[in-house]
Amino acid sequence: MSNTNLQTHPTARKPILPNAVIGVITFILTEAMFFAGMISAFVIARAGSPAGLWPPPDQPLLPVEATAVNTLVLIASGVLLVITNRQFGRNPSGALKTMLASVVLGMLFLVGQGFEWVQLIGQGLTLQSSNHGSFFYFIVGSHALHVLAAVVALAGLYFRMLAGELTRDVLWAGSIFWYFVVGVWPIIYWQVYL
Amino acid sequence: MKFAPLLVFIALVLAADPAFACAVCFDANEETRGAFLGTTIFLSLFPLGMVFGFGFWFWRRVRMAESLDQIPPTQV
Repeated sequence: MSNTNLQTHPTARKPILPNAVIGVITFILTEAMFFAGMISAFVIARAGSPAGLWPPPDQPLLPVEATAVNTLVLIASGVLLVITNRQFGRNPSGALKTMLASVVLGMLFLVGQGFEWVQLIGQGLTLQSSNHGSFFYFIVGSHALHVLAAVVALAGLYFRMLAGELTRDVLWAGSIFWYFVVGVWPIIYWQVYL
Repeated sequence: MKFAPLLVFIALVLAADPAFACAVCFDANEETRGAFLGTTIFLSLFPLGMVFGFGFWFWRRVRMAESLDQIPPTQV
């Protein structure tokens, strides 16, 4: 009886996409709209600035060069995670190293952003100082919160990888979120800083 | 008399002035108007692009999985 069942029913196929990946992609689609809405509102506010002056004359200029370096740090972190995914399963020790480097670079990006904020607040750019300040802290702060959440998640994945408990599907899901966080930043940098 | 409602409707349509209540339709600043229009188009098309992009990628993965299923197990 059981043998007949085995012969007539084909083996269950692996899902087209793991549940974790579908969940993260759905989340990212909503997050992408969140950032698109914020950046659109910012573009309209900037276009309506008096005499086309942006940032307003009494507000500090944003540190374009320092943030460009920070942007490269974040992109490097994303590239290292791509390498981690390629090495996973084939070269475990290499995957561990690149994963750790990716997490550390993500933390460095956050530290860099923190220093930048401290300097800007010292120069008078606050949430209440102008539209420029409100949009800056709202958009860049939202992104920083995403980076923080993603770095914590990646650190968790690193420790699971260290313990040998990490599956490829979970690594894939976590990586997709990090790629989103890394990928949205150059757009924010282009719109807000340049 | 049965055409009276239609005549009233046509008269109202002809008599009405355009209402610039929508910020996208009218703004004194040309740049703001352009930004409104651009972001409206962007925010309308962006979600559709994402959904169709994901759908297309998913469809390709399904096709790839189906083509793998047709290969005899010894060749996989």
